[in-house]
Amino acid sequence: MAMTIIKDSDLVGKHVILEDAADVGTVGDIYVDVYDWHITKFDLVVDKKYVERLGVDKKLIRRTTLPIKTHMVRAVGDVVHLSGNVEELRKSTRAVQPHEAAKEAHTAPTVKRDRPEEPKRYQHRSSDEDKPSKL
Amino acid sequence: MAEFRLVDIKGKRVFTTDGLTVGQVVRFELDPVQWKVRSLVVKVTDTAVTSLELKKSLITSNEILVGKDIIKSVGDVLNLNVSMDMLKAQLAAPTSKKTVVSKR
Repeated sequence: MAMTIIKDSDLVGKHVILEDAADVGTVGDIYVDVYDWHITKFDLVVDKKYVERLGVDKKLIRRTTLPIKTHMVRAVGDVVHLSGNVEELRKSTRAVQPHEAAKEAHTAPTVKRDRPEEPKRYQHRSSDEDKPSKL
Repeated sequence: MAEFRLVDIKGKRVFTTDGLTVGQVVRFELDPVQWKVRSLVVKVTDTAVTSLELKKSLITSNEILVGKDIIKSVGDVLNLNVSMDMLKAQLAAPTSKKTVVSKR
């Protein structure tokens, strides 16, 4: 059997379908454990019409996402098939926003640099001060 | 467990054990059955193209496939566990059972 290899960009944006034929959204960010390069989870970008049914808060600006563990995936083809229905997905996952998910992920330590010293501002001197003092 | 978003690894610079730059990670090849990253596609710098004796392409950027087996560590950058010479030798070698690096 030929091994299926896909590009990460081919997976991102694929529709996510449940067993009850609900098209709940698309694949967002993918998370990997760099110790063994196992893909642990991906963000499901929840479709607007399923936001309430999945019990997540509707956001006006930010997209609503749910972390999906890869063991919940049954198959990947033109779409990503998940096991379970909407109700089961609601129970099994917890809504997180993209920035929160990013916080959970390990990020390499960043070196904080001290703010460069601001250039000294020269005080404006009045014209009288500019004049050489009379001896 | 050190978990990264794939998008955060993209763009990271790749270095050999002798401190030479290979290039930047541009994308990944995934196995959606095993849920594993099979290899990383690295866009090779002009200097590394010369060092690795790759055929320069004028139209497309030079890319190599780097297997996860030769990645030593991931942080601000990616460190490989091979030197530039070893990388060159592996690229020149005929396809082995376990491909750690290959030309695209």
